[in-house]
Amino acid sequence: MRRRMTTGVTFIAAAIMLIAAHDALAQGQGRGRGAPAGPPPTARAAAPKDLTGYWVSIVTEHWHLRMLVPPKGDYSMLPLNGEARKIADSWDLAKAKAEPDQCKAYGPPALMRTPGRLNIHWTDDNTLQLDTDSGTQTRVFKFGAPAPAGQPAQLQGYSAASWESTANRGRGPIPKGTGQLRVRTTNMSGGYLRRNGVPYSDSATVDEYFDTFTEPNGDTWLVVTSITTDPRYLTQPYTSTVPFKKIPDRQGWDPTPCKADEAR
Amino acid sequence: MRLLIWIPVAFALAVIAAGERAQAQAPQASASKAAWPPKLEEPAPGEVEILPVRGNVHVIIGAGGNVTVQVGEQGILLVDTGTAAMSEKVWAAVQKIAPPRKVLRYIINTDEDPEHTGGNAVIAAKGQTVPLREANYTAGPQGTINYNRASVVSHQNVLNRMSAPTGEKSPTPPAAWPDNTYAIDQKRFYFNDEPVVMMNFPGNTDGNTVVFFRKSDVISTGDLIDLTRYPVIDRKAGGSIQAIVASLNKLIDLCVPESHGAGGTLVIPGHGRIADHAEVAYYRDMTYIIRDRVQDMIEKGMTLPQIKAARPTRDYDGRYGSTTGQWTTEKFVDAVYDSLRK
Repeated sequence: MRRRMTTGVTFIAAAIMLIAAHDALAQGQGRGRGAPAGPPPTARAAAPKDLTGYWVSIVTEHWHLRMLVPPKGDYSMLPLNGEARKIADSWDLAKAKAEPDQCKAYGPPALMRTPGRLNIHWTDDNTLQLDTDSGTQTRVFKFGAPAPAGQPAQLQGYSAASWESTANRGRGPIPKGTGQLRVRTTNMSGGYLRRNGVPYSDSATVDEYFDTFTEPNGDTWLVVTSITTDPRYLTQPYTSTVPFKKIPDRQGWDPTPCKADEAR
Repeated sequence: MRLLIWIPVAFALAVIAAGERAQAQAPQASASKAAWPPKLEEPAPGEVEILPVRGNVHVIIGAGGNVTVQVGEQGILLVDTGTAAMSEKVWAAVQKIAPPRKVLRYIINTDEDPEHTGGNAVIAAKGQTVPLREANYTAGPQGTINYNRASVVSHQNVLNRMSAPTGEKSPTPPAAWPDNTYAIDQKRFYFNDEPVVMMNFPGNTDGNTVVFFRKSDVISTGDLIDLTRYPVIDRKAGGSIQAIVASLNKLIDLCVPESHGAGGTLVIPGHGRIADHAEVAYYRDMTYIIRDRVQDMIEKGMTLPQIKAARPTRDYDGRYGSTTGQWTTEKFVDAVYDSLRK
């Protein structure tokens, strides 16, 4: 009995030493407390996956909701409350076309579902920029910088970005080829969750996960999962997932202005 | 005019990715402008439009119900004939699709609705049945066969509802009746170099037929799918919401998507645009969700007026709902309730 306990204690001690050694290795790579002097790696250097380049929407489902302006009152699959339904039911395409602001359907809760192309690129070592040709919108993902206080709300809001492990590791750098980009967007000015006047409010937040994978045939895909939370208009978070396919260059890049009556 | 979003399949599916559309249009920007945005309205009243679907199969839109046309070496086959008033327009469109001197051999009726069978009498008379017997043969149970008419094929229940016993007045004239029926799960023949499989998928009635062109990989569903409104449920003719859900599930099993749930098998609905696997699944989901909501309300003891007031269809009304016309949202809820109550 005593011998068995001794064996167990030895095993636990060995496990602790292994974990400590792993931490020391991670710290040696500049990730943990007590790391050697020097700046932490930039977001660009720490990127476990390369999201940069040109991507094109692949509309494989709900194209009648994405490729066309849905009819008034089509808010199927959206967890709206009564107030939101009332607003959606009062939407009028003719009035929407006449409004000076044509970009209400191009905010973060809806922009990724809008068919078109993306260009993702680094503007500095800690800032990733996402441009869309549909609506000619720009989203800025800031790494390691909290949202500045007192800023006025904007259509694209403020997007705080981080690399996130998909393996639940919790320690050390994220191995190359794994992980995903997480973006949390706040301070948005409100707009349309669906192009036919379904609203989201200025209290909404969007949590997004950008992940990539490559098929055996060489096609590389970007999958964007968006979770919109809106205490004013949604009864529960609304989740959607849209795929993009990587394309070699900017051929076909076709910047268009925002349009209330066109689904791009 | 009812807004009907329909898109030529060559556009809708070949360019499922908007970006691929953009990519395709880049070298010829001016040409692309004509392709986008797509046409959103049905043909003007009294006019029809022909859309190629795939392989031997086309569809004529604007004649009431959609009319599917399969043409080939052996002749012409139609699925449904549209309304009586549009018969000549439909026949003119068929002649544009078919090569010269090809003969109309078969008409398949998906149900007995006048929007699908109204043109039977006029259009069947344009064709000829394949003469398998001598012209004066009368010994068989069918007696003399009129070969100077295309054969009209349907489920037996469709004939039963279009006709009447001898001496009684029938809902439709004998010239419009099917002359070739089936009463089992399916009827098949090989025509124009492809298998044509007719399957009894009860839904709107107990006599619905779905037609599968196996080589072209196109399915003509009749009113089992109606992308312009909620599915019509004829309770007196054996239709029910349960049957619609069950048959839509079977239809999904027949559809094979090309990639990521979309494309692949093409589906011609009874009304509305050409669809695919994803579209059928969305329509099935709608019927499922509304069925479950009404069922739940019934189980809670709610009356029909209370169920209507609760608007179980609310989030789909913008796309499928109607307060006017022959098939309103209220009638649909009545039929769903009646289906589930018993």
